[in-house]
Amino acid sequence: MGTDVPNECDQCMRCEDNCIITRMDGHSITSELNELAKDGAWNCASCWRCIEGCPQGVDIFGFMMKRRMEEEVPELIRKGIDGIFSTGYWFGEIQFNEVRESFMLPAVRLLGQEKVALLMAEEGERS
Amino acid sequence: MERVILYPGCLVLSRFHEYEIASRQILKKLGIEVLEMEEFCCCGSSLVPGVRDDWINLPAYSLARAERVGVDLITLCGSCTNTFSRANLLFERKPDLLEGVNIRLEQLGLRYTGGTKVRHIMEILADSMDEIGESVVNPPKVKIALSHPCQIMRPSEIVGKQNPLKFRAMHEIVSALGAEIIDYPREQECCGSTILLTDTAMALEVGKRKLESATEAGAELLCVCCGNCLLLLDRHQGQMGLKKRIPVVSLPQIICLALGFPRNEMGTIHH
Repeated sequence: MGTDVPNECDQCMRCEDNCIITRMDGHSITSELNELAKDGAWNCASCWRCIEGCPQGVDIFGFMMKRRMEEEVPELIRKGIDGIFSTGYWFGEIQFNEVRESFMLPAVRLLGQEKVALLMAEEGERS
Repeated sequence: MERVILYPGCLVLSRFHEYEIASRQILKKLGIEVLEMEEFCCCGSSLVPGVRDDWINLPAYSLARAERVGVDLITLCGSCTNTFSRANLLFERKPDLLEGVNIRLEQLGLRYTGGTKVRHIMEILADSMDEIGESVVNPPKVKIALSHPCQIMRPSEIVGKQNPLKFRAMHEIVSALGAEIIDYPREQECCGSTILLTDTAMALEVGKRKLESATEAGAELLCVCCGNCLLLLDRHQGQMGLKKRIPVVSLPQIICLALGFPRNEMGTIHH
């Protein structure tokens, strides 16, 4: 068993069976738990059936986050996180209030870069 | 009058105005006053935790905003619901976490004690099912299939304690409108929208299989209640190569139609 696979995991494969990614022949975090692949931590539908169906109560989310820290961040996710740091909004600099106003929806004011910087540690620094 | 802060989430606030408008209309109809978030910030979803150890500061910010006003935070996306609920559970289990978070929040003039209740719009609709059912003037005449938002139901450890929503909640609400509901084999499967961020082709295939399953069972409309479901199943539907397309409409919009709201008061319905 991989050194960082949680001890509680007996690799029964139930998470693998429950995962929509693996049922599509892809690799997900369940593939990593069962040591079938090492490139699945980011490929996730966030349906959490793996967690719900685990008979051992393995902290699959925690394992996933640990592995994600070690694997390359997919481009679209990196872009989204950059957007949060530049405006507080996943999609960054998109101007949406004109459209919202046309639907008579209230304008949304974003937290903004300076305040996000106060909220979060500097990039690379871990809190 | 109950007051809440509506947290539409990044996706809905810029892309799914019809879902937000209908949600606001229903809340108003139920006598709930909607307050605006003073300054919006992304919740971080389940994606930021894989990159940043301090991800929890993001949901804590919006939770603190709501706590300062003393109101519940109402979400429209499963992802936001899940993230806020996860943060609250962590604060409950590890109170020390709050100390570090509050050092940051205090720089924004905020403080959080862990007291904000997070409710997805469907939870409010489920709680008000009788009132909604009694107000129906225009029962839907189309056969409706349902797609349930995964992240307001799972993991039960995270959302179960704060969100008593049953898997059947959407079924019961749509039934209360007098609509005919079509069961289909892939009803309980995830829509696959989050996969769009890592494998577009796979996401489209997951969505296609789900939509085909619904149409083959005889559904004429798919009801959803999450911005992510709308993103894949509605906005990306044209890329799936479906033989037969199907309208995908949010639950609050279907309720607005059933309650007889004029169309110009409930946002655009695509298709």
